[in-house]
Amino acid sequence: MNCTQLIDQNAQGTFLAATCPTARTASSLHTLSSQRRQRPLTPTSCLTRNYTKDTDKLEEFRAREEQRERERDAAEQLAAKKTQSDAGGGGGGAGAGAGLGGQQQSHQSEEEAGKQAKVDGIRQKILDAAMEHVPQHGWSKQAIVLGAESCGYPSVVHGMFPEGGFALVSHFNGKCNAELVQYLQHQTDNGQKLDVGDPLDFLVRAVRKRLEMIVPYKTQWPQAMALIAQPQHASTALAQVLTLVDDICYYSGDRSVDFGWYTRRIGLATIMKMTELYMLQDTSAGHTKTWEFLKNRMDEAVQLQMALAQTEGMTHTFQRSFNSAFITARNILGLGYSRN
Amino acid sequence: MATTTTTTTEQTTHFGYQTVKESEKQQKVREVFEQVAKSYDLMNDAMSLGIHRVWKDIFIERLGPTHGMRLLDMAGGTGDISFRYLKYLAKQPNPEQRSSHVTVSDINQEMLNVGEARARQLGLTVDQLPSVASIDWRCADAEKLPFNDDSFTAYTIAFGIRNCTHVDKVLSEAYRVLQPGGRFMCLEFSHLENEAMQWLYDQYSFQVIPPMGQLLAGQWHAYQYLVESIRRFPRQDQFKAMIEEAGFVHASYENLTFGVVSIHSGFKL
Repeated sequence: MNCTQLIDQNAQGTFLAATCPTARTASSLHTLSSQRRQRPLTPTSCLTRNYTKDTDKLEEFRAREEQRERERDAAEQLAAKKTQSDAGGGGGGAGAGAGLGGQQQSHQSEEEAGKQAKVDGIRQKILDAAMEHVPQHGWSKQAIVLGAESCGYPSVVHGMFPEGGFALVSHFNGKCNAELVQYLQHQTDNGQKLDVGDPLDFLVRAVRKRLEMIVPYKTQWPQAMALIAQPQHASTALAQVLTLVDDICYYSGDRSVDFGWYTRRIGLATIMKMTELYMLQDTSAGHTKTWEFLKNRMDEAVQLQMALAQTEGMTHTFQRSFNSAFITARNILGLGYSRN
Repeated sequence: MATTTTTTTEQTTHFGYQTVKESEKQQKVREVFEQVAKSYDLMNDAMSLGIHRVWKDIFIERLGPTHGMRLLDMAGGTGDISFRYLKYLAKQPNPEQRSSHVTVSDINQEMLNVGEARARQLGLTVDQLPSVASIDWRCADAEKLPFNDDSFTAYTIAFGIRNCTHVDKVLSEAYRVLQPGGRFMCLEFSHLENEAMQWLYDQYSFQVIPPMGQLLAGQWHAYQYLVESIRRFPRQDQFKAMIEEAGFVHASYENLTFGVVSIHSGFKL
């Protein structure tokens, strides 16, 4: 299964779909050649990401994708069998039998999917209610307990969030990322408008918008950053950051298919983290000093890039080291294997 | 899990590696626990080298008791889980002065007597407890609970469910007495993933435990039944499926000590 088909499946909010730069740019340019695909591609279907499941574990995501792969393979086999039987007229019984089996399986998985959706809805509701208690109780089990009780559930449902405070943090991050993506889509007509003026300015505006969403929880944010830094949460945290950074770069008009794709995203992630840390100790009105800091870091990054471009040999080394850092991050997420 | 045979009158089930009539199993299990009740805690320490205390501590950690919880500790006999629950609550601050409750229930009155004696010793009786938590001791059959619907927020059963004749009935009764949002948790011996380790575990179970039972408690056959019943219990995934069939959602399990014991959990949502 190649990357294009991965995007067809509307990959849910992780970096998986975005690790193939060629596929993403290619698919958006080939919306007209939909006749050859099984489902017609529209720009929104390949660019929207469903962020409601950011709290899912990666294993569950992979299991879902593999299940879909299997179902599609079964459907393809069925279609192949059908064409054979249509042509031959003899294998009709076999085709019908396989069809019924496939239907039953899809009923079962529909039921399970329905139950899972119901549980996910309740989880979202509890986490949303828990956010109101964060300023007083921090990103903790206590906030989740209070949120659950305000929804009418007994406090024991906090057991649905074994990772405790981090569940709240990743839920909040997922919500903010989704909000930012909506804003970016609105700004650029769903990624169609490739000319967004000065790309640097666009990036600064996007990062600023995202960091401003943290301001209501600023006093508790150091605790959140500590939770994100814990190694047991590394994979989810990394996935969220990389997806966010990828989205921002994409909507800023980056359609590159070379190593610059990696370097730009890693660079932006670093700048975002630095600015976030700076913001935590910034006491100026409206965080003006933070936005200045951000602009300076962006300018420095551009200067660094220009300096590297002038020294070709060294650029290769840096590009390779960025590339290897990126591949290490992918391996941490367990996405290092080739799906071809 | 009952196995149907072609007897004319009734179905049979397993009692360890023997096959007995379903009506007999409950009586035979009762006899086993009557015999072992007095030395139950001593034998637990000896057989598991004290690790059962860690398992039960982790079990209560996973439940994460909060004030205001109403716990039904089924097959709670000698009170290990309930006492841990009360101690955990005592360590939590209670700014709103909520009152919590635990009902310790067991089919065997002997086990409950031992539990009540221990409670008196530890100072956890009704009159001595702080006003924030109350404890109640009831003799009841897990397949036919004498409690109202929706009367508990949490249900735990530790090392008891494998002795029940109809596990599915126990699960549906648990579902009935839990409030919406309530949690079912089960701590039980389970199956190891690693075959070599399973062999080692089998050797220990069959060669060491019954003789130890004879030496320390004077009961060989009771402990033979106990180790056999562990092997007859469904595997982790199967039991998880049974929990989901009873109506619980978000079912999961966590293996401890490579799968020697497993904590299963489900929510009534």
